[in-house]
Amino acid sequence: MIKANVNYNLRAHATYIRNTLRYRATRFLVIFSALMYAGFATLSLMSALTNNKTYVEYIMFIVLFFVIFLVSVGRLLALNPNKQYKKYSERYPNANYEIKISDKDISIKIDSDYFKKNAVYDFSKISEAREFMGYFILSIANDEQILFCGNDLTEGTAEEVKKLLISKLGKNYKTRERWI
Amino acid sequence: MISVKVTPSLEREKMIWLFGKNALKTLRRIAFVGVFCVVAIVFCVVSYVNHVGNLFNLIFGCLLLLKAVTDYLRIRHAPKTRFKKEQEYGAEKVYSFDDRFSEVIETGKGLKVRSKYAYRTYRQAIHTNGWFVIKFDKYTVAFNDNEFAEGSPEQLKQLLRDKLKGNFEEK
Repeated sequence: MIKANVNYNLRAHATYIRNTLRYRATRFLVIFSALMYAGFATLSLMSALTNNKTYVEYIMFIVLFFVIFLVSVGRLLALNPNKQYKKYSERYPNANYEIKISDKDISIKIDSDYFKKNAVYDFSKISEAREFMGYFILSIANDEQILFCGNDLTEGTAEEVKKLLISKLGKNYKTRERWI
Repeated sequence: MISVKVTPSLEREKMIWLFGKNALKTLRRIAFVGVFCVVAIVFCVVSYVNHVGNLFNLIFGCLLLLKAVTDYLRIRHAPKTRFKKEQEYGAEKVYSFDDRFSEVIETGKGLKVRSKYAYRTYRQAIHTNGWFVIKFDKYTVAFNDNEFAEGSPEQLKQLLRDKLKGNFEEK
């Protein structure tokens, strides 16, 4: 039996957001478009210097990647964890999370002023589990996610959680220590 | 006491897609795909007019066009994929509305969920063409007038009008 009393703070929220596909895709787009922009800018500059000629295609690529860069930076800024966490904690004050993991199922208890939840899920309903910067993120088939940290555990250890999840989920357990 | 019994259906997912929290996002994405298409066509045309046989530009334009088409198809089939997911999840949901709280009970194979929401957590509710659509922070629920097990649609409308005030819309 593993028990956790989750301390859902800004750091946990930031970790959760940084692990979402949306955040990762946007960050990839920012880096990719910036690199492409720089590449085409130097290419056109070089052709202007050597041939005294600029091609329409280069300018089109430069404009296209610059626009993509601006849009994706705007989207990345909109995903600011600070702002979202503030909104969240205003909406659900005094939230208290408890998670219990046994051999059979996972049960979650959320207690806050305006929202209460009591849930029991079988392991067959867990579609994926990830380990990310010391946090465990479990995705349920319903697109909901459960998040807890190794430090939140009151019974059992992080190693035990890892072993149990690997034995139950197999391939659907993924680790990502760091990502670029 | 008002209660509604709900099982997964395609109709419901379409309503959520049309009026739910992500409806505006869907529209924006379709517009984005349109812009993508135009840019791709411009690339193809320029590559044809400027340097005949400029393969790189043509390939890039075609790739953009392909992405636009696949994006469009994915957006069009969003309710269907969502419906399949709900079927896999296989929960029978009962929404009940009380004076102070609303309650959701999900039962199915391998799951048992009971959650209570205060009316403060509701963002917006809409009644349109015989469907109720209620938006929360992260997700949307929709149900039909015919799915009421207890109480009537009129009672629920009155309750939502009292609790949400300006955030309840009737179309």
